[in-house]
Amino acid sequence: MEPMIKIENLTKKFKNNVIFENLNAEVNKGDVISLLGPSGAGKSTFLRCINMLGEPTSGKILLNGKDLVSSSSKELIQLRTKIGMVFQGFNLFENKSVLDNITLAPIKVKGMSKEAAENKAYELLKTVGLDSKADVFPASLSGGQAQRVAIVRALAMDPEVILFDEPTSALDPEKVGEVLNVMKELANQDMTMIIVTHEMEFAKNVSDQIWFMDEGKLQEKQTPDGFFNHPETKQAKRFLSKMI
Amino acid sequence: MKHFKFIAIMFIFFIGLLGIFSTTNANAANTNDHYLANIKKKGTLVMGTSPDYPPYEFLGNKDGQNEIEGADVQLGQKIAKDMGVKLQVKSMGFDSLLVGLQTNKVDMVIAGLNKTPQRAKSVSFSNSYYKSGTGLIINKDDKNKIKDYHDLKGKAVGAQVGSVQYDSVKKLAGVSTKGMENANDLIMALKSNKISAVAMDQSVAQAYANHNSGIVTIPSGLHSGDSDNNIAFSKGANSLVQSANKTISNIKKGNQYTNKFIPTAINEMPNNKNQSTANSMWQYKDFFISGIENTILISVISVIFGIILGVIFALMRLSHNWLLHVVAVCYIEFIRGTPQLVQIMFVYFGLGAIVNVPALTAGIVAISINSGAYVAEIIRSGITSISVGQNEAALSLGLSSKQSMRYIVLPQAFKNIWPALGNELVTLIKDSSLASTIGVGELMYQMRAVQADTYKGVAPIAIIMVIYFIITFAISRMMKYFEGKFNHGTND
Repeated sequence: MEPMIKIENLTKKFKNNVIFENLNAEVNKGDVISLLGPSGAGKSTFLRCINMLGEPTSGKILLNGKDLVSSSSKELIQLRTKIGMVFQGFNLFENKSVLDNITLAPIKVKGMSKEAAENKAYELLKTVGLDSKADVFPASLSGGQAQRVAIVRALAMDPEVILFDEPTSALDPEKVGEVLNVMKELANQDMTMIIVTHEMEFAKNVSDQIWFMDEGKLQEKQTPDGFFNHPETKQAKRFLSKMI
Repeated sequence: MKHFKFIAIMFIFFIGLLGIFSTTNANAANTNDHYLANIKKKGTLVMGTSPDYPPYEFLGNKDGQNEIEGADVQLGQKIAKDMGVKLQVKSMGFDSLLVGLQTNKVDMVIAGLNKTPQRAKSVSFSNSYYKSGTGLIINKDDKNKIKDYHDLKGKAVGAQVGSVQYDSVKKLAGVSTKGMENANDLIMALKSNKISAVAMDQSVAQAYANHNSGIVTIPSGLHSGDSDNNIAFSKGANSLVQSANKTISNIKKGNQYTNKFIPTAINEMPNNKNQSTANSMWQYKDFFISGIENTILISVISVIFGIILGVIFALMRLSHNWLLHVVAVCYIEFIRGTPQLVQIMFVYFGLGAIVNVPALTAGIVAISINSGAYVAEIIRSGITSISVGQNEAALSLGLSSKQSMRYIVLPQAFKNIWPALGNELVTLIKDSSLASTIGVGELMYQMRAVQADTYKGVAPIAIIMVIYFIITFAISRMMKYFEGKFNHGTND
């Protein structure tokens, strides 16, 4: 089976500073991948390259065989609708209500009718238990609520894959669970996900694959069991020893 | 490299400006003598004057309408009639009149103008149509102290900037000269003892003294200012000069200017010395109303274009395209670095030499362009205050950069800069008064007209001050109201 996402020789440099070099990886439909590594390893930069929020210096990112790096800005918009993203800082549109946050892109980008978009938004909000918050503005949501809305906003576009950039790092500890539960539910529904996270338990229990990144390279691509119990590289061993 | 490009662009920009000036001059010199034929073809002769100089020229109140009247206007009519064309009278500040001639805004200037060698370098003069002397206006209380110009030593004397009287007072040893643009201001300065005397044309001085209590006029004894009043035409417009000279020699036969034009003008002058201030101001309510209309018209249109320009130039300045960026930086820095008054005059006289635009349009264009630069900086600060995450979230959902700007970034930016925009709007309304210098009939200009007509200096100022305040206060309240609406939507 052709992989959904194929990353070929991806390199990112800031002037002479190499962030990562020659990354190669594949993601199959339905895969849940946790991207781990020490802070400063370039995990977020890598993730942001996958939907071209950050431009790689060289290399290819193929989504269903179509390269994002070399595509025109019009094609890129088309491809981005298939890649959802959830940010560490939620980034809900502050000038829009929860409902409008969710329906904006389906209406403006996909040309969905307002009614259909709103019905869908209410349905999705119900699955995360926030349908009562449809009309409030983001400023009045708690962090956990805001992140759940952000996930719903990404889901409303029916993406083929969702990128999570440290989705729980900005949350109060007691709010982390409610967001992880939503993500777990998505994993159960076979949503393809790439998650930059520091939640080791979650990575161990939910992912199909662990990508471990350090020193500008993907040092290991392993099953959770293999990575946590039999790490191969000394970088991974060092990382895990600090985590426990 | 970047700096080099920047300097290069600036350089080209200035060369462009210079180019505009040189074409202006070339126009004046080249079109040698089709002047009369052109005017006959047009069917109208445009006369420029500064209607604050009764009885030569002033704004009369005909059925609530402003109309420029006076002895010079009657002369202009006669000249136009002899040419077989209609007369159109255009009002400008005295200082702008000769510029108006050079830039073809007007065909001739009749404004109690005296021939001087300097002026003769840039315009052509007709023969003299009237010989005027210099009179002094002084406070009644000084009647015994000041008999003629010899008594002015150690005192401050006012005169209209650019007038012959101004030059002759300036030459007096031991006298400090206070130049002002407007005759009414001089009278007010005299009455409030800022200056001890005002030197102006004798007939004008007489008219002011007749209409103001507390001041009198005396002959100055200054003969350096005695001079002939002449009509000015574009340099080299000999056919017009000849035609005017014919009319002038006819008029001179019966001494018509002194015996007929001036008395008629004095008759036309509104005589309200005996009315109360309130009454006389009420009579001029139509002046103020039309002033308000124009002020609001200028402000509303300029705000709309200012915001459009502001958005465009803010986005250009933030653009990654260096050419757009540099153009925006040049525009913003240049406009913010030059006085608005100068910009207004430049648009009217400078660009006006290439495309002929009416004063109101020129005023609106200049004020919009000026406001655009300031609004651009306000909007830029608003855009940069929005966290990049907002834009990234929009892009990640498949919105284009444009859509993200339109639906997400700009609405939030506008909310943040709303108070600053309100300030800019209030400033713009106040600054629209600068358009009065090119003869736009807004509040400031109408105030001048009322002052000239009623010989009441302070009351019209007080009235427009209150009017300005009412307008700007209403605006800031309105902005507050909408600000509250924004916050109602988004705050906790």
